[in-house]
Amino acid sequence: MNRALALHIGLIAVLFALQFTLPAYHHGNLARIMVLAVYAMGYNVMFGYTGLLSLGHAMFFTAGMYGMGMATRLWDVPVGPAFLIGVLAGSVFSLIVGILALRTKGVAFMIVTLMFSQATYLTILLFNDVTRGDEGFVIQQAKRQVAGIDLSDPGNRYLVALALFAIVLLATLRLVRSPTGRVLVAIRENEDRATMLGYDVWRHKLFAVVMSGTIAAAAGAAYGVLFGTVGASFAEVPFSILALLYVLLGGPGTVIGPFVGTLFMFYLRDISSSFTDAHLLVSGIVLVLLTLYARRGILGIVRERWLKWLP
Amino acid sequence: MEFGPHLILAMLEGLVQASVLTLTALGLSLVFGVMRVVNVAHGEFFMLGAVFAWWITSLIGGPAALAFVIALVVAPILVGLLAVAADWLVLRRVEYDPERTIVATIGLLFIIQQVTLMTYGPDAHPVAPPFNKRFAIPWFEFGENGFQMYWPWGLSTTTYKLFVIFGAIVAGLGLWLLMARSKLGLILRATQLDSEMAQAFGIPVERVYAFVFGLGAALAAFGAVLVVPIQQAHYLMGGDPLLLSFIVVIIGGLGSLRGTVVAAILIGMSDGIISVFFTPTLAKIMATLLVAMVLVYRPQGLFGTNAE
Amino acid sequence: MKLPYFVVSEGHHVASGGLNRYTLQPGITDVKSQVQAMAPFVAGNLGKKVTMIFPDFAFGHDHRDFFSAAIEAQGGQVVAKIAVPPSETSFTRYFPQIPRDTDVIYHVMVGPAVLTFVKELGEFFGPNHPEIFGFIDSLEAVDLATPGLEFLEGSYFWEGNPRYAQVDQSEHDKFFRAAVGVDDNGASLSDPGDISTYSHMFGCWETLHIIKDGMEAANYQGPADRAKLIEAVEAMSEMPESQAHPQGAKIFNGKTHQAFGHQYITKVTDGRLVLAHTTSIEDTLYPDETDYTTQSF
Repeated sequence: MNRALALHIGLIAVLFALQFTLPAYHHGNLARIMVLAVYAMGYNVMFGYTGLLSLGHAMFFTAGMYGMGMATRLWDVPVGPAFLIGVLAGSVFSLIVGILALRTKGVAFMIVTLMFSQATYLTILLFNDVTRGDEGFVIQQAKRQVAGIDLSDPGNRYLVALALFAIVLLATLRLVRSPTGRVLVAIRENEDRATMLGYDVWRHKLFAVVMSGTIAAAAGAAYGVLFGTVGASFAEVPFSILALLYVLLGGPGTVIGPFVGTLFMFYLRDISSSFTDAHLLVSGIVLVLLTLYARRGILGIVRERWLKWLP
Repeated sequence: MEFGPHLILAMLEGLVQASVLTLTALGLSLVFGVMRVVNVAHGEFFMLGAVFAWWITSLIGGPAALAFVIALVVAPILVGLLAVAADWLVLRRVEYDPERTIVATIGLLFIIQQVTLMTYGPDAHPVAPPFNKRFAIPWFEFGENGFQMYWPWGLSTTTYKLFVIFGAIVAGLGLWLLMARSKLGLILRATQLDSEMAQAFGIPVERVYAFVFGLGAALAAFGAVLVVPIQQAHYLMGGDPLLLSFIVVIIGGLGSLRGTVVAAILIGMSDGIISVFFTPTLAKIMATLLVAMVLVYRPQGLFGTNAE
Repeated sequence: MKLPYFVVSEGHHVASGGLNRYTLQPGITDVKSQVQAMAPFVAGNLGKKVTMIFPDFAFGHDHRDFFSAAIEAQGGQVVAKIAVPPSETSFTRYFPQIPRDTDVIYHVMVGPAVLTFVKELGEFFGPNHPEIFGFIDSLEAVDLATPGLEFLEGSYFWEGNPRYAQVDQSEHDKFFRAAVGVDDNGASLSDPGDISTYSHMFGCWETLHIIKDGMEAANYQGPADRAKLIEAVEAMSEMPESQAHPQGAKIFNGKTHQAFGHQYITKVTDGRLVLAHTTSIEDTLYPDETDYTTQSF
């Protein structure tokens, strides 16, 4: 079991070391990838481990982003506490959504989450006097300071992104190796059997949704703080699908999978953008190919073939 | 505008919306009913119908009416064939698993939309209507001189808008005849009831599925060709029809064609009338939340009886 | 982001102080100044009771808020404000909200459905319509000769830069049209049916020239000189009409990072947009709302 822990700490160490060697462009990309990977890791708790396929995860990312953004914009809360407000907003929102949506299963669950997410997006547009609607707004550089540290500085930004990434990575690892995590997997594999064995399935599922939503909200709030933009495009349907795509590609139900998926997808789109502006085309093709030929994703295949112990 | 004429105008506009929506939602509902899968790329087949209509009419040229009639026949067939290909290449291979089908059709949605952007371009293009004459509608009031007729400002419609309503009714009746009166309809209904049993009786279920998927897409495309002389063709136009069809199909009861028609007329009409009282964005929020709540608390739909 | 960011969006968000010191809009005027300069013409020539139709997002709201204030200052009044969601594809059902006593319809619409919008406006009114004043955004890149647009004859448009070459066309406009391949009707030289966004496209051209001038003044060598480039542009003020500024003279406000310039009002005459009024730069000025030069880099 310790080799698993070593692998994850090793990944964090490599990411730490990379900041000294990467050229500026890739350095900036990697900071962004780590924050997006946190978003995907949140999605993985729900989809990868518990088997709850949501099509509206962007709503939790947005809850964190706008919770943080509104707090700084309307009440001038410093970004540190505002970040926590964002995370809290995500927890509360995912609790409400979870209680309602978990009454449904399968396709109905997918559509319900999609509808809630779309309603969230439209609500941002509706209140555009305070949210600036589809234009979004900028968090002023002067405000992006915590304890005198300028978070808009690329070096600091990288370190903060890495810290968040490391915390969530290790927390997820701990979760999936805990008894609770095993129940989640049991629910994914066979919900009826888990019920029969006496587990409170509904409560576990709700826990997964809230956990998942909270992590996504942390990613959203961090994204706003680190990159200075808050925008409604993060609430739109394609951004929800992106989380699904990252996890499907990296390997649902693997702890590192979301990071691998985000990294690959980010660079795939980056490289393809020199051929075409239609980056969604790449997403579409990858989605279809994954559903057809590689349902377990990259790390899922690695685990199946070589590393049986991979968590 | 006074309340009476306003309501009449809102209802006329609502009827045009409802006509197109009925066809689009019927396509989605048919696919769900028979194949038990949700096609998220349905809105893109609608969009392709409009884009093909533009492409066909500009290729043919000549009198607008002739080009339009050809487009009305050819565009849905092309879209239907494309959908059959998608079924054969993708849906069949994921074995019509409900969740995987949704993910795969999201992929198709992105692909179709972006390929259209890359070939057709980002601009909207108009298709000339075969005929289009504005005519004013009179209204009545009790004035100083008693009962009298007058022509309110803005209360009007066009002959083409009436034709859209007519076209949708004809297509809807055609579908009903197909389902209720033909042998093919019998096969479809048998497959819908129990696909394994149908298979056992020698019905080629896979081919039925391919046909249904194509027919569903063609219905959406037909609706799109009808509406494109009013609304222009644009690569992003599939989003709203998809959302509205979802709403209609869920409220009408998943897979129930009769419920779909009722819900489509209701939603299409009320969309026009509600926006008299609320802002359109608020109306959309309420509609999406309504769908979510219907699924949460009454999954058989507001009008359906068969639970899914 | 500490990258120089030259905006060509007409948004008021630069001059409102909502962005940072690296953001400038030196090549095109903002909505606030455009809209406020229209109010005297509308109130003086078309009527005092205005109904506004605009897209329901930030750009449309800027129109709504700034024009309402400006027309009231002229003794006029906005009698109805009709917001249309940006994704809307059919518009007739919004038009009954237009009050009977409207003198002028003020419309500004953007997006792929603009042609549908204008056509349906015409179908709604039929032969008797109030005065119509629109921002050309509602018909940018759309051929005025499209069937269904005949009712616009005699109506007015705001244009950033007149689409049709005017009788007193400047040599600079002539030069600019030739350089970007646009004919006297605002269409592509290679395809007369392909209408350009002529009313707005000068913004990119002028901005590029300002970047060039700024880089030369700052002796720009590489990314280390980004702050010097911003300071060089901030130091600019008068921009006379020239090949680099074919739309007309401008004044750049280094504190608010926003350019101010002439606005054009054209009238649809025999299916062409003919210049009816040119505002002065003074008409477009408003008090500073921010001072970016106090921010550190």
